[in-house]
Amino acid sequence: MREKDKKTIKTGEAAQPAAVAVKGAKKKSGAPDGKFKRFLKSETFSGYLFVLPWLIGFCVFVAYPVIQTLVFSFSDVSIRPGAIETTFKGFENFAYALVTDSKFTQALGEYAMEIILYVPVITVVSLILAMLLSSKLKGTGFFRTIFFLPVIITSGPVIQIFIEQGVASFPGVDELINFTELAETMPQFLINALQFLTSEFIMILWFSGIQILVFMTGLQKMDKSMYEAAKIDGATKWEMFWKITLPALNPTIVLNVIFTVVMQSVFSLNPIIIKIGNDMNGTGEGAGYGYASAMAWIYFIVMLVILGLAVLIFKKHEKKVKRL
Amino acid sequence: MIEAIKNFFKRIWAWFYNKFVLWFKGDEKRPSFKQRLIKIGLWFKKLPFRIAAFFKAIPGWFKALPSRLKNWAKSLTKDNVKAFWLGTGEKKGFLQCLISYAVLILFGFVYIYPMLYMLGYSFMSPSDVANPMVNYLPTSLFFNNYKEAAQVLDFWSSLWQTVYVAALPSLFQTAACCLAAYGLARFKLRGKKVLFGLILITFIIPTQLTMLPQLLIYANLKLTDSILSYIIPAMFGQGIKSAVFILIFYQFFKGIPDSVVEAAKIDGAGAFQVFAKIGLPAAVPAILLSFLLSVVWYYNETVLASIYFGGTVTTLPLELAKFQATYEALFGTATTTGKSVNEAIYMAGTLLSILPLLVFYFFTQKHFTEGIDKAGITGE
Repeated sequence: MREKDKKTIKTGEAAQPAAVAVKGAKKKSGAPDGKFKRFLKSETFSGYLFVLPWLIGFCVFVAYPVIQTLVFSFSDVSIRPGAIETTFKGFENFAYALVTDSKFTQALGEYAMEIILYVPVITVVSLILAMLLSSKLKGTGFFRTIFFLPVIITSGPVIQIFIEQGVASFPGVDELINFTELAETMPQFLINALQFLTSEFIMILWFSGIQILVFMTGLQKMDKSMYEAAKIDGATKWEMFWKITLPALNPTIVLNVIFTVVMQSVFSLNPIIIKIGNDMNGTGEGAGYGYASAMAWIYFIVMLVILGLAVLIFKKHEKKVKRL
Repeated sequence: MIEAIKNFFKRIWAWFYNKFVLWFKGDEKRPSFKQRLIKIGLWFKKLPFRIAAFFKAIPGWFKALPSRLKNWAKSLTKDNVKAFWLGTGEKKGFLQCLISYAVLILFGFVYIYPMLYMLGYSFMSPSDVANPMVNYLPTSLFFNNYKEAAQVLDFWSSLWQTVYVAALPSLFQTAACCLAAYGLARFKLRGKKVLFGLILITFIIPTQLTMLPQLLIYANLKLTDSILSYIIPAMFGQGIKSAVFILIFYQFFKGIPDSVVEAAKIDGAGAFQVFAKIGLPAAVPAILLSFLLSVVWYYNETVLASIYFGGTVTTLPLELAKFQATYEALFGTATTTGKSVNEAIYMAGTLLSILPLLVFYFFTQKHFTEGIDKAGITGE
C-alpha cells in the first residue's frame, strides 16, 4: 500500500468505531452485558452489518412471499381489489395437480426429459467450445464476442420470436434421419429422445453461453506444470485430456450442471412455467392462485430432486477420480 | 468523497489524453500526426520506384524458380509432412487448426444466423415478402419498415425509459450484492453456511412462485406503477438473479490476500475503511461485470415489468410485445386500409428493440469476458 493511503486510513480510524458504537447503542440502549458491548465493537458485528441489507431484503421480499405461497397452496384463493380471501382446502390442490390434471403431469415429464437431454449436451458442447476458444488460435477474441451473444438474446423476449420464425433451427435436419425405419430396431423412448435432440439441437446451443465462459475460467486456472510433467512422461494429448484436464475441471462441471438445470427451470418459455402463469389468473377447479402455487411448489420440489441427483452423480464421479 | 470524484475525472481525462491528444501530438512510442502524414507522403513518393523494382525482379525470380522447387521437394521428407499436418509438440498442425476453425465457424454461424436472417428480412418490401422466390436477401433495401417500426415502438421515448429502467436498478443491485458478498467473504460469521443456502434458494426459486405475494407487498409499500418496484428490491439485494452477482463478488473478495488486510488493520483501519480502500479497488472487474450483466437482465425482463409497472413505465421489449396491437391502432387494420403488419416490419421492430442492447454489448464486451476471466467463477 502507498504511504498516502496509510495516512488517510489513520485519520479516519478514530471516527469509524465510534460511529459503529453509536449505532449499536441506539439499538439496545443501556445493555448491561459487557459481552454484548464487546460484540458490538467486534469484527463479526461489522460483518453482520455488511450482510444486513441483504438479510432484510431476503426476509421481506423472499422468505415472507415463499411462506405465503405455501399457505396459498393449501387453500382456495380469491383476489378482490384490495383484499385476498383464503379458505383452507388441505391437500386438495396438490392432489388435483398430481392425479387429475394430466396436462401438468405431462408437462412435468417433458421438463424432466428436457433437463436430462439438455444437461449433457450443453456440458459437452460448451466444454469443447471453451477448449477451442482458450487454445492459442488467432481470432479467438472475435469468436468470444460471438459466443457470448446468446446470453444477451436468450434472457429476453426476442428468443421467442426466433423460435416462432423457425430461425433458431436449421430446416431439413429432421428429414435427414428416417425415424420410422429406426423404430423397428430401437426402443421408443430412445427414438423420442433422438427426435427431440434433432429438433432442439440449435436451441440447446443457444443456452450454452455462460457455460462456455465458466469452462474457460476453469481451464485458465489449471496448473500448467502438470501438462509439462505429463509430456515428459510421454503422454499424448488425448491421454492428457482424460487424465488431467477432465478431473481438474470436475468442480467446474458440477457448477455448470447446477447452472444449466436452474437456468432451464426458471426460463420463461419452459412448459411448466407457462402453464403456471396461465392458470394463475383463472378461477375454480384447476385454476386460480392457490392451485398455481401448489403447482409451483411441486415443480420446485421436483427441481430440487433433479438438482440433487445431478450433483450426486458428478460428486460420486469425483470421488472415483480421487481414488485413482 | 470529493477527492474520489476528483480522482474519477482525473482518470477520465488521463484516458482521453492518452487516447486522443497523444495520438495527435505523439510521444516516445508513437509518431505524431504530422510525422504520420509525412510518412504516408513519402510512401507515395517512393511508389513508382517500388513498382519499377518489382518488375525488374520478376525475371530473376523465374530464373531461381527451379532451384527453389528442388529445395522444397527435398524438404518434403516424411517427418516434415507429418509435422505440417498433425503438428509437433509445440506447434499446432494444419489439420488441427483447420478442424478447430471449422468447428468455431460452424457454431458461430448458429448464433449469427438468426441475426442475419432477421436483418435480411427486415429490409424486404411488401412485394418481396409476398414473392416466394425472394428468400434471404431482399431485392432492394426498403427502409420504410424501420420507419414504421420505430413509429410503432415510439422508439426514442421508449429507449430513454428503457435506459432508465435498466441502469438505475442495476446500480443499486451491484452495490447491495457487493456489500453482502464482502460481509460473507471477509468475516467469520456464524451461520455462514445457512446464509449461503439462503442465497442459493433465492437463485433457484422460480419467480412464478413468489410473484403474487411480492406484488402485494409492493402494493402495500406503494411501490407499484413506478420504477421503485425494481429499485427497492435491488437495493436490498433481491433484484433479478442477485445470487449470481453475490457469488461473483464472493470469489473476488476471497481472492484478496489476508496479509494486505492485516496490514491495513494494524495501521488502524476499521472494517469499512478496509472495504473502501482494499476491497472495492480489488473488485473493479467484478463491479463492471455485475453492472453490465444486470443491465442486460433488467433490459430483457418483460414478465415482471408488465406486472409491476402497470403501463406507467415502458421498455422497448414491452413495446415489442404489443407490436401488432399498436400497429393496428396507428395504421388501421388490414380490412380498412389494406395494410397489415407484415413479417418484415415485425422483424424490423424486433431488431430495433434489441439494437441498443447489441450496441451496448459490442462496446462493453471486453469487460464481460475479462470480468468473467478474472472472477474465476469455478467450483468451491
